Order: sequence, then structure tokens, then C-alpha cells
Amino acid sequence: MEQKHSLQSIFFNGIITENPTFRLVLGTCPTMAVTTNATNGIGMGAAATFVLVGSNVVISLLRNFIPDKIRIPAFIVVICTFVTMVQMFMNAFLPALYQSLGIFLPLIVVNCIILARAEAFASKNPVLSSAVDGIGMGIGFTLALTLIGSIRELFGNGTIFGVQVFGAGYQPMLLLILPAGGFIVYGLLLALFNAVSMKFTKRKEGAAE
Amino acid sequence: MRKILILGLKLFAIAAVAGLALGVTNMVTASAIEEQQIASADAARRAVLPGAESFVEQTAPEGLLSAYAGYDANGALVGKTGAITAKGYGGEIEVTVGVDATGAVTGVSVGGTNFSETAGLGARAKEAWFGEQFIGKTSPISLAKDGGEIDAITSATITSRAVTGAVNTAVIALGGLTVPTEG
Repeated sequence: MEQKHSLQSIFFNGIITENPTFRLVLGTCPTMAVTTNATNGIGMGAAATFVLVGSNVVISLLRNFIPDKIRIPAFIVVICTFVTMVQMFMNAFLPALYQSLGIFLPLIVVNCIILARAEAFASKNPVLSSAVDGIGMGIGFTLALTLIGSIRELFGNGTIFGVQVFGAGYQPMLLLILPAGGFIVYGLLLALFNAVSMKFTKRKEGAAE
Repeated sequence: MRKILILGLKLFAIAAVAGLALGVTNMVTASAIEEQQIASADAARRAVLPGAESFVEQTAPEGLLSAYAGYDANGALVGKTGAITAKGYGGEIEVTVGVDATGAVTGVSVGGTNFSETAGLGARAKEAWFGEQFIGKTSPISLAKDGGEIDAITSATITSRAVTGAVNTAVIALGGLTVPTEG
């Protein structure tokens, strides 16, 4: 990250090149836990994006103040503060959303994507780039969670976003909603994502020769 | 030594600012959160006891968190509501139950602030069809697989059994509660 990247490439970096879920394989614990349906995936993704952007901005602002030796506890304090504030505000002013996110909201604290971006990006880059990095990574995370959630909900429950797709006669593959199904879907998508990106790299190398 | 002191002081400064920010947030949101909780508890009571306009808090019988008597617009008794916690699969589940004068269930609301049942499985106890099964039932109430009439949520027997047991306990406790007939 030494050289300056354009804001555009930072933005797409989080969505495709370094997609937190499929490329960096970060934050897998909340990914498994919440992706039993598509709506949860979007809710968790949106809340995590908000915290990610906030913590990236604050940590970027403080990057010359925080000494290297105590950077991890300092980052954790900032992230926890942000999550707790989001939780309180949501509880007070958006009770419906708060109810539907429930346990996933405090789980954002232990989402390692946020700490990883603080460490790898925000602590070394200016505020604007850090904010864009947060948005890109957040969108990448949200898309990934929604995709996994949609697949698990579709085959495990016959619905997407709660809307019946297969009709009432469909016998749901309950396994996909259970934790084991999360691993299976995640593993298959990971393999697919790897295969596609390998093909792209090869084509690029071929073009360069 | 000096270096360590500076590190400590800097971390202290960050934590102090964070603490201050949280304190301010709490000050701003505390009253709104409290109102929210009162409003949602009130909404849960209205949902489980249709027809009731006003609620008067009663001394909660043993085993219940709270009990209310519900009255219609003319002040006549409609029924009683009680809140109870059940031990679910992922933590505590708060169940609010309404009963009419004959002791039959008028409605069941499942939720609570600590609700953490598995999404897609136990969390489906919040779905309307599950609560509606209880309407009109009198104690003893139990799951179909335990010899009763309530259909369990597929693959969420622990949650279903916890909620059903809580409803049954609440119906019995509310049955023994005498409330003023006019409010």
C-alpha cells in the first residue's frame, strides 16, 4: 500500500480483488452465523459497513497519534466504541432494525475485517482513501453475505428475502440452513471465486507476453 | 520508563475520549431506549389481548415477570396478560401471553431484548403462524409430539418446547390471579 492508489481502484479492491469474504477469507465466523437468509446477510453487511467506514476514518485521523506498540488495543477501543454507539442509537431510534439484527450487532466487534482494515490500510493512509476503502470493503462483504444467504435460504427454505420461489410443494434441504450447510456453500463459492480469478490472471499473463 | 509512561498515557487518552463519547451517547439515547422498551411492551400487550384499550399493572404471580389487567374503552375487564421468560436454545426468550376471562389464550407474542434463537430455525417462533396456534387453547398446552396440539417448528423442538411450556405456565399463573373487574 506504499504507492498512492486511485480512489476508484481502492473502491473496487474491496469488492473484487481483495473481497474480504472470498479473497481475504476474513470475518468467516459472523459470515457463517448470519447467512441463514438473505435479509440477515444485508442487515449484517450494512451494519458492518457503517462501523468499518467510521473506524477507518477515526483510525486514519489518529494514525500519527497512536504509537506502533499499542496500536492494537487502541484500534480495539475505537472499534468497540463505534459498535456500542451504533447499537445504542439503533436501539433508540431504529428499533425495528435493531430487533431484526439482534445478536449480530454486538458481533461486529469481533469481525476481524474491521481490525484488519484498520491495521492494513487506515493506519497508513489518509482519511479520504481510508473512508473509500471502508465503503468498498463493506460493499464487498455485504454482497458476499447476501449471496451466501440467498443460496442457503433458496435451497434450505425455498424462499429468497422471504418470498416463496419454489412453491409450497418444495421439500427444503434443511441441511443448508444448519451450520454444516454454511460451510458447504461457503466452500463451493470460494472454489468458484478462485477458479474464476485464476482464469483472469492467466488471461492477463497471456496478454502481457 | 518514560516511554512506557507515554504509551500508557496515550492509551489512557484514547480510552478516556472513547468513554466520554459513550457516556454522551448513553445520555442522548437512554430515555429514548426506555420509551422504546415501554412502547414495545405495550404493543406486545395490545397484540396478545385484542380489544383491550388500557392496561393496569398487577402484582405479578410467582413465575411471571409482570402481569397486567386489560380493560376496554368502557372500563370493562377484557382479560389478563403476563410476561414470562423461557430458556430457549440460544438464551432467554420473552413470551407475552394474553388470556380472556375464561382462561383461554387470546394471543402469544415471542421476542424480548435477549432473543437470540438461531435465525431460520428457532427464530421462526416469532412468526405469526406459530403464536396463532395457541389462540383459544386452555391449559394444559403442549406440543403435538408431547401429546398436545401445538405443531413444533421444524428442527427447532427446543425453542418450540420452551415457548409452549412458558405459555402453559403463564396461563396457569394468570388463571390464579384475581384482578378488579373494572378499570
